[in-house]
Amino acid sequence: MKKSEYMEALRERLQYYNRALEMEILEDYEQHFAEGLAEGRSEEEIIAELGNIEDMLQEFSQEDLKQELEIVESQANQNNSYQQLYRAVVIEGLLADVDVSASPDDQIRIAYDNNGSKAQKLRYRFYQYEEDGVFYAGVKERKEADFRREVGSGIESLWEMVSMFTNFTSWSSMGSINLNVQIPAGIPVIRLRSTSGDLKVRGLETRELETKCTSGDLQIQGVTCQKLSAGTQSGDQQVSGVSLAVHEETEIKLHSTSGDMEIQGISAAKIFLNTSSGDLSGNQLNTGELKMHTSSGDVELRDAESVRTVLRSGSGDICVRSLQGVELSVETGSGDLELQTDAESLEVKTGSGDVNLEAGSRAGQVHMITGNGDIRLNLGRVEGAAIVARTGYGDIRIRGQEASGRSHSVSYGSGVCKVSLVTGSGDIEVR
Amino acid sequence: MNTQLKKGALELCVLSQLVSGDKYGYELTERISEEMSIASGTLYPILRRLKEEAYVTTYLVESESGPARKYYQLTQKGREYQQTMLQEWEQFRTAVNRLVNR
Repeated sequence: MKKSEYMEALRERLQYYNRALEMEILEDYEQHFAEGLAEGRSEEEIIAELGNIEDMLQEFSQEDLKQELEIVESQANQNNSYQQLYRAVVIEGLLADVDVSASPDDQIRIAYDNNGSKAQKLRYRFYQYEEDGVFYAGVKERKEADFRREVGSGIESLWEMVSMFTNFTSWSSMGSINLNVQIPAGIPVIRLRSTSGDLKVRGLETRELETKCTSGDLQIQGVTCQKLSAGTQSGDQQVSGVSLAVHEETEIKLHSTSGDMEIQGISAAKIFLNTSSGDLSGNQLNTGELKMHTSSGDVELRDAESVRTVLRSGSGDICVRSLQGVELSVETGSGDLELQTDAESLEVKTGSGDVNLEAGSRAGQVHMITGNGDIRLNLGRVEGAAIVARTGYGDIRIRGQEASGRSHSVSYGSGVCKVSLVTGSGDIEVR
Repeated sequence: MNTQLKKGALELCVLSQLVSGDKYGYELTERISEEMSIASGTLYPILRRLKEEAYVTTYLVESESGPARKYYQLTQKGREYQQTMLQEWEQFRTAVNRLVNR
């Protein structure tokens, strides 16, 4: 160990003692090092001679410790910066709202602000450490053992107060805890997590970005990366302006259990959105493969370019506006479908909803099946089509002509667009 | 060793070292660690306590080796305390000697 590390460890431990004592012991040790070094001894020798810091602290008494309030005040708000090359940065916000943005230089900066009651300030603390080139920082809950170690014995009443706070304070009456983080460009991997706090990410440049929220909301804006995966359990997600340097590996995966998801202005080779009960919304997307799945939410897609698109909802509605691409596959259990696309191949299924589709001029293949919903297809921009339509009970009307039976085939123009329309009990109308 | 006993013995050693003249921290800790295997660091809290109890006072002298040297000087109260402790120590040592040599 070197002098700097030893002094740092000493400083770290002395902060729990009163200020005069802290300053005096630090001076004594500085003096001791100076004398020893002047005699030609190495830092290691002097450290060995000074001995274990904990043994030295044993000589002090309870009264020399800072009052707990002073400790709280000195730790509940802090600003730190770190400069080194890291392989990865991992931030764990716990209940804090985390705001992550780009650093203007090569330093990682973290500001921790705990604005709660005294008990709250004692209950949660900021931590930071490094291991194998990975930078870890975040907010941690102090356990009873941490109190003993940090504050010393004689903390029973204090601990009682803190554990009371945890048991009886509702989340809503808590003061805010904020973690503001600045991360420099070029760190290959960034992982951000929060439990009940919100997570806001802006302007990062990295290779791989992973974000996870349990009940907080997630917002990602203006990020450049090759791989982005984001997950929330019950919070909402909003991702916008993410420019993933477009090449083979670029991939966005967003996952949510019950929150809504909104993505906007994103180019990536692959985009996957998955939620159990939230709504999904995509806007200005450019991708090779797009998948949007929700169990009970609605899906909305606007102004997108996607070679292959798959949209699924269990019971929600699906709405597509100006989508360009090759393949589009849309399926919902009981929702309605409102589609307007230039895709060449269209595969549409709904259980009990209605379908309204406006095909583009390049449409070559359209397959639609509904259980009991109506089918309305606009082929106005197609040169010609070969249509096969079938319904269990409903009526069929193609280009103004009422068909007499339950099944009808029509071919017109070039006949280049192959259309098959099937409904259990709905009406079919082709224009 | 019993902590209380060790504490008292160390205090006596430190105070006794100052009887012959003022010494600065490093000088004192070096002198004591020559005779005893003890972490030098632990002497600084002891010196601080002796100062708080007014057994010693300190003054600074500029040094070529770096920061100013803090010298420790016995006060009158400190001299008396050293004498009392020394007597207690002698009595204790005699008693222990008799007991262990029997």
